Amino acid sequence: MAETSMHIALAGNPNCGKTTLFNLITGQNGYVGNWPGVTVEKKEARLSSDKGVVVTDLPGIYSLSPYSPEERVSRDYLMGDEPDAVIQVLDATNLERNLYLALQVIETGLPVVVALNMADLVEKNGDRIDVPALERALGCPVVLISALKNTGVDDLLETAKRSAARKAAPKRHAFDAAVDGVLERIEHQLPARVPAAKRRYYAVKLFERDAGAAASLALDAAAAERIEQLVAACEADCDDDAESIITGERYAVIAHIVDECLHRAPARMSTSEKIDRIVTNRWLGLPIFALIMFGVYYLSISTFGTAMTDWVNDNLFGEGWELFGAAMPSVPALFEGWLSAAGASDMVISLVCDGIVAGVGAVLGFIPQMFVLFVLLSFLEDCGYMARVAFVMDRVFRRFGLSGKSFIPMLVSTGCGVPGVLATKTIENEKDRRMTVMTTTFIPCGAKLPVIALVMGALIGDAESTWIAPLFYFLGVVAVIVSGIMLKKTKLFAGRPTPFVMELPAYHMPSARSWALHVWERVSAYIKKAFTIIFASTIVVWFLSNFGVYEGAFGFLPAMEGIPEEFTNYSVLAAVAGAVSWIFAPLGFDSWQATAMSVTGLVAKENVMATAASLLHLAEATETDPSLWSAFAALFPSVGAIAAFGAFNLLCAPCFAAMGTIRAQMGSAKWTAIALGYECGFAWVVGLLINQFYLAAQGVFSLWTVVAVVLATGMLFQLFRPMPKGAWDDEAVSAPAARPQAAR
Amino acid sequence: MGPIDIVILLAVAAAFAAVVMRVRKKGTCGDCGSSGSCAGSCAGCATPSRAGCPACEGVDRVAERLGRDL
Repeated sequence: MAETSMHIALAGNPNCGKTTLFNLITGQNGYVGNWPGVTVEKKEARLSSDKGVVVTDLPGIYSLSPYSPEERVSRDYLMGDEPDAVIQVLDATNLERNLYLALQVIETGLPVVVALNMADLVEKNGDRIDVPALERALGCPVVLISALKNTGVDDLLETAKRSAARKAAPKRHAFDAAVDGVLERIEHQLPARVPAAKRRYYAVKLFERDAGAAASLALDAAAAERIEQLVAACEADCDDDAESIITGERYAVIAHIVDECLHRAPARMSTSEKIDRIVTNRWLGLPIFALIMFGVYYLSISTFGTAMTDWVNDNLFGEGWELFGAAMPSVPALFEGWLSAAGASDMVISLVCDGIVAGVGAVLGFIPQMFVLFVLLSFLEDCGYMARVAFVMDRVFRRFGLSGKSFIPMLVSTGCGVPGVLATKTIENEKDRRMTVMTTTFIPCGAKLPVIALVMGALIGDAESTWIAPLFYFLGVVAVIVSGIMLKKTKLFAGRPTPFVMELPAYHMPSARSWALHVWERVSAYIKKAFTIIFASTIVVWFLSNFGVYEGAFGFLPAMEGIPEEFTNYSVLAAVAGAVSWIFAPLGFDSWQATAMSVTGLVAKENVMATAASLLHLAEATETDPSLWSAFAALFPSVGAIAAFGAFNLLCAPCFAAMGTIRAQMGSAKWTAIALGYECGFAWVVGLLINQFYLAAQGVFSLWTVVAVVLATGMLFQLFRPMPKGAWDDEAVSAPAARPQAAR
Repeated sequence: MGPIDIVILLAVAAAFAAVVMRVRKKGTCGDCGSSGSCAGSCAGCATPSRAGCPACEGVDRVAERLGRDL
């Protein structure tokens, strides 16, 4: 290992190209770890061209104020570990915003070199940055680079090494004379041990009443009191709070620098901006999102995906297929042939073929649909559209007290609810976080796709229908919005929405590699799950549905003498599921099979399909009609009951993994019970409304019709009643006063 | 029940036990390439997919990632 002669830190805003530069100069051989005590990523590596230089990639931040773990870590590193030089990476296309952090890093007194990244894009936009003027204004070297195209990087590294060797502190920036005067007087109060280069930084921090800085200086009480008097007097003079005064001064300096150094081309609308005028339009944004998601689900479930899934189900796991004219057996037939030839008993053949192969195979049969779904969703995510959706949804969510921040976990949940729930951990407002945890799993995850396909197949059979599958996705979105509105009007969740700020990237074609990687990660996860949790569940379901009591004797039911063909009705599963099936009677599906599917779905949602395949494979219905859909449909008395089954299983408590995550995120048994209770209760009510209103439309009325009307009225009342007085008068949200980024 | 039945049942039982132990030890998170090995906690996670794991990233970082230009 080479001896370390120099430490260089890379600082900059998120997405300024810092990590691209880091990977380029270190050859992507960085050590990735966490800073002690926080889950902020730490990357360190040696320069490829000079192994004596260690480069630390600091987290992307907007300021050195200690509001977030990233900001705290960066500040502590710069002030505590004192790198020999800092390369401050600036996105040259967003100079004004990026200079805010740059000024703060310059204030630290460390040798700084400014790297103007994406310089080629500035040129492309027709703008021009006067580099010598910028160097004079900032008081430190400035180098134009493009990390992506590897231009100017060697020059940057040489400049950084020279600055480090010279220990050249950048010049300090002049604020308004009155503020500067106060800062100088604060500098006089600092202990003598604070080096000259850092006195300005600490003076600014003490002016901002930064508790961390005050603690690190261990000021005596008299000095602290004098500083407080100086700051308070300045606040009174400027009629503003200290933090805003400094923010304002920094922006005044930035405005001056930008005026002097950036020569903009006449304003011209980019292609992305032209698209955004339509896509994020106040009135068109939501319908366009609905149309796109409709297309996604239609294409994955009703067209390409279905054609491939049908082939897998009908041929690979059905009646066999042909390869260059030669007949190939199906997977179940293959297993049955092997086992019979080996002399296995009927019980073992049934376990392997009717249990494991039928159950796991039914889930695997949906891989083509899953593949198409994830190809489309990953494209939307990678091309920049999903960032627009968060922006559009922020507008919708804000109306009922949630922010676009709550939409991000829902976006993640289209893959899997577990990371969706876990992603809520950084929502600062506890009420918003709890409500997001409670509602995020309403969005159909990948595992619910087979449930949607199963219900859709049962509802329409062979008929052409474009709207059923997308309808179930929108059911999830509507459930989130309806729940949000209703819950926000309760004392448990009342409160002002958290501010949400997000950058909108330019639209671009995703790189084939990252696109393929996203799709592979999700599809391979589905396959892994089929061979682990689904595999184990199918074994349990097979045992429970094949063993039971007939005429007082317990045993393997198919082998019992005189047992009717519908032997599963005597199984343990039938007894257990039958005992609780009354719960679903008002929803129209009180058969023990449908109940068993719903209950096993709580282990993993794919189990609804796996259990259906395992149970229905044995049913008489499959003999007259080989279609799984019609066998499944035969379990229900009406179309309304099938739709109610679908709605209940999509909206009720998620799988065990997600439930465990909800427990971890809620941090209390009480809130976990509230969350799961609400989800199950809401799903039951939606199922009830669907079934009872369907029956009412057919002229069938009962006491449950009255219950459905009462519940629907109650929901409508909660939805449309005005927000209670003082509902938004909760505690102030602990967000930074001024963050120099803005949603467009 | 013949010897082949016992062999198959033992194999199925072993696979079942292995799955149960794996799930019990590592959880069943299904979003990343490490599904079946995510314990739902980011501390100490060392999978290659960690950098892009929404669970580890949290809402703000996911929003940042979505807002990334290149």
